[in-house]
Order: sequence, then structure tokens, then C-alpha cells
Amino acid sequence: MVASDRAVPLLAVVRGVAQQLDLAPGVGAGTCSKENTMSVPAPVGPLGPRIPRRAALLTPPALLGLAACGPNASGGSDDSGDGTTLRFYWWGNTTRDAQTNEAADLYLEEHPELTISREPTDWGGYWDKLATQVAGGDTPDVMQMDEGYLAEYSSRGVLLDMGGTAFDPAQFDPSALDAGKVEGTLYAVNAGVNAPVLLANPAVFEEAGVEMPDDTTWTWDDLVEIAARITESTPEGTYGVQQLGIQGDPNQSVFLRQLGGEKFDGSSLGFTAEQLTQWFDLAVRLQEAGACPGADAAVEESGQTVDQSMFAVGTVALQSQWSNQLVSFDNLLDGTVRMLRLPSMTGSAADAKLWYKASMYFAVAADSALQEEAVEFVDWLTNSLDAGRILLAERGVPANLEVREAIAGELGESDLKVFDYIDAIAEELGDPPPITPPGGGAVGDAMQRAMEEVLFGRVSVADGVAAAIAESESALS
Amino acid sequence: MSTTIPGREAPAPPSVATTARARPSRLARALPRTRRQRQMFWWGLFFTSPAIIGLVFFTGGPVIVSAVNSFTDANLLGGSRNWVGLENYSRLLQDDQWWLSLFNTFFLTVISVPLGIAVALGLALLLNWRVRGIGVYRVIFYLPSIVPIVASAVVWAYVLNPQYGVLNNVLGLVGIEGPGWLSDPAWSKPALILFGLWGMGNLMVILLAGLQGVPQDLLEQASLDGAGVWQRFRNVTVPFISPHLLFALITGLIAGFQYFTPAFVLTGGSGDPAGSTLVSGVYLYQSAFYNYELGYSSAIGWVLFVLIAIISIVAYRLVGRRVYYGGAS
Repeated sequence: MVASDRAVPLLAVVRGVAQQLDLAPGVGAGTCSKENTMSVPAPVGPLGPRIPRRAALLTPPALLGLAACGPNASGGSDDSGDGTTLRFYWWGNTTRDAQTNEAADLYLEEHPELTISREPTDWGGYWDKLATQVAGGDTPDVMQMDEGYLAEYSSRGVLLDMGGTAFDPAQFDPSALDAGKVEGTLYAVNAGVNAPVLLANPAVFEEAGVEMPDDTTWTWDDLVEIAARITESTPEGTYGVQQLGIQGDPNQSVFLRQLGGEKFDGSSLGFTAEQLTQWFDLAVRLQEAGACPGADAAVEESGQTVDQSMFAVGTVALQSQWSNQLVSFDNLLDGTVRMLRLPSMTGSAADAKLWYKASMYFAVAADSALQEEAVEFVDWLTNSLDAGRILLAERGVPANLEVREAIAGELGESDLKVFDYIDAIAEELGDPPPITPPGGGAVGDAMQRAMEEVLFGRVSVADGVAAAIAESESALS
Repeated sequence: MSTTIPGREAPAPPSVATTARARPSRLARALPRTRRQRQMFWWGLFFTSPAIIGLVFFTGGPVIVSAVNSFTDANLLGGSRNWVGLENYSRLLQDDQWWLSLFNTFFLTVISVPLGIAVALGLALLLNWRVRGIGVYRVIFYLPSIVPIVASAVVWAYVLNPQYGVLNNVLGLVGIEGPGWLSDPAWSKPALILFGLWGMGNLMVILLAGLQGVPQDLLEQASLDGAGVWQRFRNVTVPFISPHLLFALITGLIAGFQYFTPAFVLTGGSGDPAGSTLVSGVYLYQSAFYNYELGYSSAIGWVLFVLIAIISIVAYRLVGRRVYYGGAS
């Protein structure tokens, strides 16, 4: 161990070099925009326990600074150092990336003083990466947001309150606008409207010689029976329906809503063990009737890309999705895909309790150095007809009614199907479900884990339900 | 390396304890005394400063911050951070998922460490033969170890794919219908263990080096005395490579408890199927990056650290005293 008087120059060297490298954001925790409500004890360990007071005072903020904020936190990141680069982070696919880039290019023609750093990624790594950037004080100026994360991020002060800004919601469908509010505050702007749907592949129905069901009157029992018949009348390896239990949401939420529950109620679960048991029972029935693939095939399917999924290659007739996803499946199946309402308990579509969800949102970082520019860009993306004509319905049906009307004539057949479906169910909708509370993401994981245990026959339905509820409740508490 | 033969006592090396009184302590000897030494000391520090700075800032700093965080309700996304005392630690004890992750970690470690050592030793014994082209064989078996683990895990995701994977196709040729390796909870752990064996090259090389230090004359002597293959292996080879085996055991245990990358890459960090690949490292990651509970995940990390420390020390004490250092002291 080095004696303390020798530690002073060592620390000075360390600090000097760190400052040269712009690693230590100066003295005092106040330079960091994140709240540091606690002090960190003087470092005891690598440098020895007896560090002179001056050195001890200087070091912790440097450590804390490194841990709590990135280069961006004390005002401006490297790439926005000139104050003109807007960072735009989204998840997507090749179609969305191309359209979004085209829209951004058009926007820059009107705003030559700006540049937009486009940062698309896939859904799989999106949230890990965003959380890491936020933790590093490097939140993108404009980011795509999802309902499942909205409450979490807004409650942590990451997102800008769009209420008092230049964003103009006048042309928005009011309920679509409300979907971006958390406890009355508008934190995110609806980028497109979505609804739960069952996609049907008519070719598989035909092959099985089974009639396409009437989706305004069918029940869950009909679904099990029809899907089992398809499995029976097709070659081995072709099935009637995906394992809805492992696909999870939106099916699970639709089913629970029809029983009078909701996935969440405030910051706790919105359903009973008895309601969840019925859902697990349905999944077991699908499996036992042979209506869906076995548990291991179903688990494998959940990690599959769109073009390799059983539905896209024609080995399953029905698969649940969000409505804006139709477009990519329709492309792969030559425009033949049909959109069906999910079944109901009563055999009446009016009781199906579907709802309009924001497929995604645009949100602005609360600590963005380019707040005005970011808000203006979001306003343009959602409110301008020019942007609407480029983005079309890929992110869902536009929430701005004026844009929705203006682009209706320019849509391809797949997009039109989505528009028609959204229109057709308008009169049958249930109330929008309560927003996913912080910690709610873990609930989906817990449900899926328990469902897999049950479907692999490792635990009984009763034990699986109990485990799912216990795990979910501890994640929410 | 000396070639002391068991039974013939070598003089005991001078131990530090017996000479401590006569000479200055180790610490004092390490410190610079003359002016020239002092100068060299600072130059030495200067030239090692990149490593020291890296260690202090990128390892030391986070270690301290995570220790502090484990007593708070820190959230990855920021916001307020409050002291919660031991709450994170007491929550661990009631967390079924954490117990599941510990069970999975133990299970994988207990199976894969001995199995890995056995396979690496077996390969090392084969590759210790003096046959033509042995260098080529050694390279072939070592190659997988220099492929980055993420890259090889991605490749194995294809190898293990039940439909178009190589493994099940080969099994199919001999009439065995392969399981859904990574989608069936009964087969996911064996799949991970199998993948672990593929990267045994480093250990194999270390054991090979140990085998080359086994004195040939002793093996010949034993052979003349009528010892069979097994007896020679058990009574001559094993004692001489026992320090290498101890090293393999301890590093294997530590790596086993820190197991993360293959499980994360092969299952996308989900712990699927049915939580069967949810090891402690993955659960820690989920807590921090999926659930944003930085405080809780720090507590998971620290408990894991203490567990690794205890188990390493126990293993070292239990096995360490049976190790024979006569071969290489």
C-alpha cells in the first residue's frame, strides 16, 4: 500500500490526465444535470484509506460525474456542440427507415440550418440502448416511444411536457391525443393508431377446406374448433393458429377485458387469479386440441423474424398482431392476408372490447439542448401533409384527422386494408385500457415465463397462475 | 523446473515467516529507498498510468458506485435516489426469480466445470502424443477459443436450430430426432453446456503445458515397475498436473458464477424457455436494463461477488492442500 503523502501526486496525475481527456466534468456535482441527492463516501480502496482532505474532496464528484452523466449532461453533446444537430432515434424496419429518412430530408430542405442525425435500430436492442443513453445523460433529442415504457420514462423526468410547447394538437383525434398523456400531462405525441387483429392466410384455409369464419359473430370456442380442424386437414407441420398464450399481448389483454378485467389498474394488476386461469386454460385447450404448434415450436417462433415466421411461410393460418404490422406480412404473402376481429365470449363483435392503441409515439428529451427545434420537428412529422404523404400509414393510421383524410387517396392496397379495419371496428371499441405503470414491462415477462412452464407441462395451471401473479405483483411494488 | 521425485525430500523453500524478523518486511522492501529508485518508481507509475487510470475510473469508480447504489432505490433512468438500507438485500431473499437464477447458475457450474476439465484433460492427453502433424491437431482444437464469444454464440444459434441446424440434421442421419435445443426447457441447459465445451481450448493448452512438465523418466520407471496406463496416470501424471487442475477448478468456478454472454446471446436475454436459462448474470442485467432497478441489480451483483469469493476460498482450502507442488515449485 502506498503511503498517503505519496498518494497526492498520484491523484494529481490521475486527475490531470482525466481532465485532459475530458473525463472529469470539473469540480462539484452541481455541473451534472441529474439530481444527485446523496454524497458518495471518499474512495477507500485502491488509493489507500488516508487520503488528504483536498484530494478526497476533488475525487468523488469526478467519479460520480462519470457514473451519473455523460459528456452531454453539462450542456450539449459532441455532435450538437454547434447547436444544430438534432438526434432522432427510432426503431423500425427497412420500409420505415427509408420513409423516415425521406421525410427528414424534406424537412431539412426547409431548415438548411439544421442537420438531423438519424439513429434507427431494431426493436430488439432499442430499449437497452435507450436506457443506457439516458443513464449516460445522452438522451436523443427526438425518440420513438412505446405505451409500455411511457409512464416509466415520464415518471423519471426524461420526457418533455409537450403541453406548453409549439406542438399543435388541434387536428388530432382527441382520444388518440389522450393516449400520449400520463396523469393528464402530454409527454408523447401519437405517431399512428393501431388495433389488435387476427391475421388470416386464406391459402391455408383453402388447403384445409375450411371456411373463413365470420369475425363479427365468432367466439373463442369457435376459434379453437376451427383452428383444430385446419391442423387436422393439412399436412403435418401446418397449424390452425399460433399459440396465443405464448404470443401474449394483445390477445391476453383482449381476453381479460372481455371478462371484465384489465391488465393493469393504476400501479397494480387489474385482473383476478380466476380470470387469468381462464386465459391459461384457453392456451392449454389450444395445445391439447392440436389447434396450435407444440410448446417448443411456439417458443422458437417468438424469436423469429417476420419473413421466417410460420405465418409468412404459410404453415399457420391465423396469427395475432397489431394492425399496422399487416403491411409487412401482406407484402410477403402477395397481398392476400385478411384481417379478422379477435373472437368474443358472447359471439358479438360489440363485446370484443378492442381498442385503439398508439402504435408508437414521438417524444422529446426534457434535457435536450435543441428543445424548440425538436418540438417543431415532431409537430411537422405529425401535422404536415407533406410528411403524411411520405410516411403514409406505416406507423399506423395517422392520429391527425386532416392528414388521415388527405392521404387516404394515396394509399396502397395493404394500407387501405388497415384503414378499413380501423374504420370498421370504430363503433365496437371498449374503453382504452389504463396505461402500463412503471415496472409493468416485467409483468409481460412473468406471464410468458409462467405460460411456458404450464405449456411444457412442468407446472399445473393453478401453480402457473399463482407464480405469474406473485412475480408480477413484486415487480410492480 | 526441478525434477524432484516424490519421496526424495527437497529442502523446504525459505518461508517469509521465519525470516521476517531478520529482514525488512515485504512492503518496506517494495518501497523505493534511494533517490534513483524513487525516480524509477515515479517513471514506472507514469508509464503504467494509462492502466491505473483505466482501473481507477472504469473499474474502481463503478465498483464504489454500485456498492453505494445497492443500498438505494437508484433507477437507471435517473430521478431521485433514496437510501433504503438493506431493503434490496432482504427483497432478494423473497424473490423466487432470484432463487431460480441462483439454482440455474449452480446447476450449470456444477455440471460444466468438472465436465469441462475432464474434456480439456482428455483432449490434452490426446494432443500430448507424439504423432505426425500434432501441431495441426492442436491448432484445430484451439481455434474455437480465439473466435469472439458473441460471434461463436451467434453461429451456435444456427447449429442448435431444430429445423435447419447442423446438429439435429446430423442426429437425423443416425435416426435420432433431435430436441428443440434452445426452445425446450429440458434441453436448454445441456445446449449451453455443450456450447461451453466448444470453447475449452484455453484450458486444454494450459493442461497440455502441465502434461509436458510430467517427467518422462518417472513414467518410464513406473512402467518398468509394472504400473498400467491407469496407475501411471493416477499416480504420476495427476500429481504433477494437480496445480494446473486446481487453477482450472478455481477459474472455472469463478467463470461459472459470472456466466452471462452465451446465455444472453442465445436467448436474447430473456431467460427463456420457461426461465431455464435465467442465470444470475442475466437476471442482474434484466433488473438493470429491462426493469431499470439499478439499486436492486447492484445488490444482486454484490451478493454474487460474495458468493464467488466464499466458494473460491472454500474450494481452494479443500482442494488446495491436496495439490502437489513438487513438479513445479
